[in-house]
Amino acid sequence: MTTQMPKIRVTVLYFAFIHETTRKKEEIMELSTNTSIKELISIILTRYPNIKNIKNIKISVNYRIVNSNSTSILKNDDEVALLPPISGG
Amino acid sequence: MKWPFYHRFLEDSFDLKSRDLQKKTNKSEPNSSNNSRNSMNNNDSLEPSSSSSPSQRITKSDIDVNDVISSMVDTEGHSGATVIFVGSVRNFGMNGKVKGMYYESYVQMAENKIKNIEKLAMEKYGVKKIKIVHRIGKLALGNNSVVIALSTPHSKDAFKACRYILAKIKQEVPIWKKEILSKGDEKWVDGKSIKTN
Repeated sequence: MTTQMPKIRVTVLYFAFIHETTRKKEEIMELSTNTSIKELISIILTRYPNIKNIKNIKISVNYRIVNSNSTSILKNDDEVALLPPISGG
Repeated sequence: MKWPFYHRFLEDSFDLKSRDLQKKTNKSEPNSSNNSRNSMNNNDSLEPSSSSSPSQRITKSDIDVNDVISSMVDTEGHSGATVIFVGSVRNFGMNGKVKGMYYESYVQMAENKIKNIEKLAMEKYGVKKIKIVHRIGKLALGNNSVVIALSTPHSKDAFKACRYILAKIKQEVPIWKKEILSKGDEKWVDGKSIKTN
């Protein structure tokens, strides 16, 4: 009998020209419980390598900007967003 | 921009009133197409002085400048100056001739950011009343994209605060615009990386 690793689910949002690369505006990702922000970003970049061509992307977790290299661990139901340079106003 | 500019709107009050009523009857679902997670968070202590309805700093509806002006009326006389900035869609942009604009936003985060900008402006410039609304979705030439209104005791602070707020919106609020070009294609505007404090 195999033991299943516990998982968490996080929502990942893609805005503006990023969602034109990912072809989706959001998705739910199932991750192992100890996944860091940095690891999630790495997973996303592996899945959508063209995102690497977009400069100055900021990452937010639950509406707060975080460092993309952060080793902070994500929690179940966290909302992560990839925010390209803004142009409002 | 000064009060006299809007005087013509006030003079045309009957027409505006009927439009306003019409709009209110259609207003039941202004943000209903937004994702549920983008629903309003009303826990913040700073609420706009303008209306009894929940604040809506990001809207898909036309921004009624007259409503915004009305919200600045201060019957107790704490303010002696009101400044209003109205940003609208112009017919040229970074990629040539423009026939319209599309705005996208991370609504809940944008609401939070604008709330914080309002709070900072109140602290920094003694702003007494403030209303900031940014429109998203598809806009035609001349449509209002952003309206900032605020009142302070003295005019100098009102002008300074308005410039400060507009700069902060451009630096911090997650909104993106795409130019709909006259020649047919559409291009996202090169923006600025979100400024973090």
